[in-house]
Amino acid sequence: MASFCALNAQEPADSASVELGEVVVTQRRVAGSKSKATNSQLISSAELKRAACCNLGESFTTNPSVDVSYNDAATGARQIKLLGLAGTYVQMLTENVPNFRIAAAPYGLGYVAGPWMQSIQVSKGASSVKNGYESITGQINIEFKKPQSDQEYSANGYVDQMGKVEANADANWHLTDTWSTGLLAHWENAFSGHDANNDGFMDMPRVRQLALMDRWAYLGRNYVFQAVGRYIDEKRRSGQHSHTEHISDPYRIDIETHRWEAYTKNAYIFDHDNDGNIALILSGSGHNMDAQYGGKAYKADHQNLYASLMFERKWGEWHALSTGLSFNYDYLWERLRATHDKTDPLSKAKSIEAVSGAYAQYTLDLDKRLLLMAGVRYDYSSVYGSMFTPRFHGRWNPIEALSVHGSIGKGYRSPHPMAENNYLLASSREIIIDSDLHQEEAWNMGAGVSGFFNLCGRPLNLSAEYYYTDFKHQLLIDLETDPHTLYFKNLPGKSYSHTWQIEATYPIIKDLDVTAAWRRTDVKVDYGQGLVQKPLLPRDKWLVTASFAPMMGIWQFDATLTVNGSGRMPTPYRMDNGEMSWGERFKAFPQLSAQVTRNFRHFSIYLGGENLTGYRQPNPIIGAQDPYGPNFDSTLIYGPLHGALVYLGFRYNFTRYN
Amino acid sequence: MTIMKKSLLTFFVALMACVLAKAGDLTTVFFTVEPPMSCENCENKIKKNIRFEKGVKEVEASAKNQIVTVKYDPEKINPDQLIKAFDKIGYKATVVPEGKVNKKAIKDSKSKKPSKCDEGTCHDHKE
Repeated sequence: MASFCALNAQEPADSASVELGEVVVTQRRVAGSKSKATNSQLISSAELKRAACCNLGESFTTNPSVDVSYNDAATGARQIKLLGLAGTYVQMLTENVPNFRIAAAPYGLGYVAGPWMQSIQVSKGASSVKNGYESITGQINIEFKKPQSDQEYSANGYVDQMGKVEANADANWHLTDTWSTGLLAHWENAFSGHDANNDGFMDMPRVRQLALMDRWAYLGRNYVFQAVGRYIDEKRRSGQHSHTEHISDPYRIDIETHRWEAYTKNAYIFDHDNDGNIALILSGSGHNMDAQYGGKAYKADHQNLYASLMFERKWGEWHALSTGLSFNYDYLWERLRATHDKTDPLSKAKSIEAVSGAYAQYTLDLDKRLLLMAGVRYDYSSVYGSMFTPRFHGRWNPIEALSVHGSIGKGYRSPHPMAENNYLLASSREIIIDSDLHQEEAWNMGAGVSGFFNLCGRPLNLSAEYYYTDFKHQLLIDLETDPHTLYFKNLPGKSYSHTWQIEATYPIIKDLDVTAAWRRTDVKVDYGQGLVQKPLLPRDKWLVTASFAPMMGIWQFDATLTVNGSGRMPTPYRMDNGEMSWGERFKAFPQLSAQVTRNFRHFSIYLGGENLTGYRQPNPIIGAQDPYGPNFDSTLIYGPLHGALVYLGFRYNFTRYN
Repeated sequence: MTIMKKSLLTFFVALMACVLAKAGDLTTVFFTVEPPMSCENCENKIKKNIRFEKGVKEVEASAKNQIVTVKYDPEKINPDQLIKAFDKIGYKATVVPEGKVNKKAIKDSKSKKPSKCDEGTCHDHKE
């Protein structure tokens, strides 16, 4: 051990912290918060710059807890997976306002431009009751760049091998001592469709998007106000490649989306000494989507109104109470044609749900040594009736180097099968939706331990955790029972998930941080024929990510290697030609990404690659030769859809300090 | 060894000695800053900017101890120029004499109540 340490010996630092005889605790760019009762991780913009991170869907490459995968081989719809379960069970928030729900869920990860984000907070487990009852496996909260931060002009340009071009720009101004405003813009376009595996289909969709955000903030001594408006316009095109001109009626996927969002936050601080404040959040959104899958069509109009009134106060240093009322209104108007015959009329459906709720949450903070957070919520839905949501989080930090946490809580979700999963229309499966779908309901519990100890004078951070999620009611997306049918039905039996994760982070030498993690998920579902392992989910995941930033970070080298373990495919069937449709299991596969960044005072340039090992899921589209035929299925996806991809970008930033 | 080779070797060794001596010829200076650093984001803001000043070889910032440590080449930059560099990014920096680093750091970090740090950034523009 002594000789190992000697090999890595550094000159003693001149910093004051060493002279004071203290241990320098290296703080990583992904900080696990030991001062919160919840199991939260903050991903800062510095961590986001380690990879291309064009949008939210690409911001978790270096994170062992969150997986991002494609739902299907055609539309480019991406989904987060947390604790082995679908992203729909993670509550998405933008600045603590629930967002990307229902119709926005399939493509929501693409609506948040990377350079717009200031940070992402990932909370695992049931999470606080303040934001509602919808988080089952966790919460992801995105903070955008604030107008009250240092005034700056920023721009970003990106281009990649697949012909995608992106441009981002943002600026903010401090108008007076109290008023500030910001403007953010995003534009992207893909100029060609690639078909590297020669199945006649574009490997990735061509997306053209324009997004704008305008925001205002007033920060007074007793009153704080924020207003944000956002608009997204997107055209997504995929399907049979335009080079296949000899095909008389090429299978095309066209999805056009228009989305607007607006919210205001008002907070009145009535007691500065005790952090006493009353806050009102009002938010609204309108989402209009028109999707064509060959001849099949799905159109959705979703309007949402949300209001939340909160009262918070501390008593002494230890006690805090947060209580509030909320109201949520969802109006969803859907039209569906589930056949390719364009003369068939569209069936219509309208759903309205109004939910009023109240919550109370008590927090005990004993000098950050012991943190307890207990919350209860009661909500009444106009469609599903009463919901009672208790949640408890605890964290014990007996010494600075050790932290133990645990949580237990409940969550609910209203089912919207077509709105959240319409990308499943990119298959020949007949769609059967149960007439009486229950609201989803699940319990989640977990515990973990984390700490650090000194190895050769540098801190080795270790953590281990376990989570268990059990569904009482679940909307099942059943691809299993019949390969030619897609059932949306109520859970007939059991459905649960166990997740174990261990993680280690260590600065091996000066300026070189390495994180290694292993995660095992055991997800079992009963689709009606007994418990089976959930298909298309790798059982194990190994991740190693390294960041080398010598010369004070003027140069930065990042690399991440992920190995996804093997998993189960849905039960295969024998096709007309006698062959099996697909294998029973898929094999483990690696993914490697790397990036080099050179930073200048106002400028940085980066060059990187994704999926450098070039692994691509073989035959992602079943029956690609006959997309209108009975075997076509592009929804059985477990791995990457494109091979190695090289990208190049620049970031410009000019900050006006005063 | 021929005289030619000996001379070349001596010259080379002398040159290396000069280069090494120059490389080791770095000075360290300690600063405290106003407004004080409230969190890691403020440490990064300082490090990210000061590192681009010509002659700076190492920058370390500690919000806990309220000390910024800069290792620099005295032939390329001096503490006054560094103070101007801090000023450009909105910080008023004061040199702390080495002997006073321990006590001043502790005293100052306790007396100044740090302003609130937004999740993911340094101070809001309003203190």
